[in-house]
Amino acid sequence: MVSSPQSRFAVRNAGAHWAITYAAMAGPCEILVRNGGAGGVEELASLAYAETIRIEHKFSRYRDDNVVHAINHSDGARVPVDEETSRLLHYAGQCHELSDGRFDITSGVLRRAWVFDGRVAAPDRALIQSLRGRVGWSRVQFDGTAISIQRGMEIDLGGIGKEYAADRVAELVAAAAGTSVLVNFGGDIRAIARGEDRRRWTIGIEEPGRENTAVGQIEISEGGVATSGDSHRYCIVDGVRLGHTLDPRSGWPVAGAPHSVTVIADTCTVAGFLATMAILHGPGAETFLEAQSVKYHCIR
Amino acid sequence: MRSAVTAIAATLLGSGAVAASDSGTMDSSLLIYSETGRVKAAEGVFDLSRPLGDHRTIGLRLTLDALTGASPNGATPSSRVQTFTSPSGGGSYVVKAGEVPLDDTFSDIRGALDASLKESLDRITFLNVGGHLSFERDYASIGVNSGVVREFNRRNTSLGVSAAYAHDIVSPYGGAPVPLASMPQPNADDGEEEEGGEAGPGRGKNIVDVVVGLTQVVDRNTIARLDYSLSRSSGYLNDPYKILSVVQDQNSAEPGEPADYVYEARPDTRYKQALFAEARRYIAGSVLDLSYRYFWDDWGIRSHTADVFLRLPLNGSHAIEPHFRWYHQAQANFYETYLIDGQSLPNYASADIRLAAFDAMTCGLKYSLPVAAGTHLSFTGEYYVQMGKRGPPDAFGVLREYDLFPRLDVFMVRVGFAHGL
Amino acid sequence: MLFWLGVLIALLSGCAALGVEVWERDVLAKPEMQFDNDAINRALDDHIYFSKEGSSGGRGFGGGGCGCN
Repeated sequence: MVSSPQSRFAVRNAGAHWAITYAAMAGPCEILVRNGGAGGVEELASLAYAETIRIEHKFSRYRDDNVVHAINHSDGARVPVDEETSRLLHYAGQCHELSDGRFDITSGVLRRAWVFDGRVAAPDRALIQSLRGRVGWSRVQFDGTAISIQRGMEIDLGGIGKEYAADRVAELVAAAAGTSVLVNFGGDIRAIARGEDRRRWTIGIEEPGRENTAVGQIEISEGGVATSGDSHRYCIVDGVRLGHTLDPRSGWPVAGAPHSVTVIADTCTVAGFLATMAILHGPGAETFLEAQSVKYHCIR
Repeated sequence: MRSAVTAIAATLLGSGAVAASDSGTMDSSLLIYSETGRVKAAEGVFDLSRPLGDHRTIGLRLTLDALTGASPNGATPSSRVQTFTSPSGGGSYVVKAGEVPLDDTFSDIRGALDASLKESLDRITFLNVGGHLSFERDYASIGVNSGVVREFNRRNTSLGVSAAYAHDIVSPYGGAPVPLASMPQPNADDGEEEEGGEAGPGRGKNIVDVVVGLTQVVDRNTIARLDYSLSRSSGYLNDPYKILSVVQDQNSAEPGEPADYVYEARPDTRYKQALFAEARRYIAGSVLDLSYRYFWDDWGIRSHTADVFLRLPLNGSHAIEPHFRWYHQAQANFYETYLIDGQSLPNYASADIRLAAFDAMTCGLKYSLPVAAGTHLSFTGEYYVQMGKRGPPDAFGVLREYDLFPRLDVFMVRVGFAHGL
Repeated sequence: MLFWLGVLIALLSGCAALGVEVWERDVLAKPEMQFDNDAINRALDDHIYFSKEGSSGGRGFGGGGCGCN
């Protein structure tokens, strides 16, 4: 089957805006562009699709031909990184400091000690301890141009990659189209208003596990939305339900966190960071979010 | 925490590198310049900048300017009509009684090309190298420059050193005149010049410049910089078209009236230095910029320049920017408004008004607006005025009746078009 | 000469105390907060003032390359 880029996305006219849809980033991707912009929608769709795939291929943990693979198989050697990767690593480092270590892109290895299939789990404490020795951004050497991580460590940009992609693609399409845009990558959303347009988009929040049933609504003309939550992925330890978000400092999932946290902030990247932080505060999620002066929605 | 992460994310996302600017920038401007009663000029600049791979940027700038009109030739006014030899291709021009002598026989076109290559060696060291070529009918210039900048303190401080060398060739119409020699009498009959200057190859000039610059981030909203520059010029530094009036002395029959005209003479080397400081601050959406330069050279010129602009944002990414500049200059030590007949000639003398003592002011207003994604248009209107003393304190005779430094009024309009910024 | 070198070193060490963290550069990243954001207009200014006044240079090289003196 011939797979030209044009066949990978679908374009639909929805009245006051166009809708571009395709599949990427392990989920449905949707881009809404208000009418009246410059250029044709096909070009905008190509632009958005190409950029989404570019970012996905560049930072995916599952590929063997990108910089993340090179870093995770570097065996302690220095790996030079380009400007964009450097900015992402820098961002990850600053978030690590800002969150007192709760945010850590080297914490991916901890998932080997846990299975989140909704069943009772008996975690292997010795394994968790040994894995904790391979976690810690402070063990990473990054000088802005090259990174070196120790043998056995790995970095995972999945937590910030999709939000970064939503922000980047939204900015690209809004700049090219000249009209307001909304990008929705499976719940990671960024809206950009252009010119004098202040019309709002309406976004429904679904209850985890009960798709197509909106339990809340958000209306934004500009900003980012991200959701952190457990949906189907949890386990039960000592009778307590634990979500799948792991605290890098302990190696354990967080107890008492909401099932789902949705945050609205200036950009999708910021919303995603705050949503993850909220989950990591467990029972204190709402208190934490109140202190941030952001709009949010928690489902417990 | 929210504002901190918003700022971190802004650095991740918004450092200006959205697709449009990855393909470079294009910047152009047209200036229309008009002095009341004197020179009119137009200058156009076209600048292109393109990245070559991740670490390199190449830049090209084309400049074209055309000027016509009259400028003071250095002589003083007289109660009689004065006739001067015209530098360009023989002939002469006449100046009415009581008027400051202006030579209006000039018009010229100049073209210049600048090329530059900037390279990022590691992410905190930058190297740049460039070349320059300029041609007009009586002047040519060729030069090279190079510099290196390094950042410190988490990129809050940067230190740069650059150097430039240029070789200029002056080929005045009618040849370069002998300094302090008398201007030949205009011969109205046959329009040919008598001897007065060498025709032949142009005269050369070498200029070496060094600049050391320090830039510092002061706080989240403020940046500052300090530059020191040193320049040495050597070779033919005279203005071949400027003369001085040799006036009859106080005890003569017509004190202050011209007896003769001589070509000017300047030293053949000049050392210039300048210290420049600038600070820019972001204040609730507006930007305020203040700068000051102190200049001094071994010709005795000392000057102060103070400059301020305030950029005020308006709706829809439009902006308005009022601007004011004040300039004060002390005269060169060989500047003479006129020479006196009978006194021995000094080694160096020039009546070029640009070496005199004067004050100048510019006020302007710029309006900028976006016209498409990544494209901006701007319109600027400016007024520049130069004011000097009416004459030296010991002016005598007929010279006391005239303003020997007539005010210069200039109106300027600019249109700018930039894409990809 | 040594004196000026000392001044420079003192300035640079003083500068080490000032500045912002990487995440505080949002305002500084704006184009209107870059010193050389209006390079063409500055070049036109330099040319005008170089041909009408006796000073040159300061912000970068001393102008010139033309016969406007």
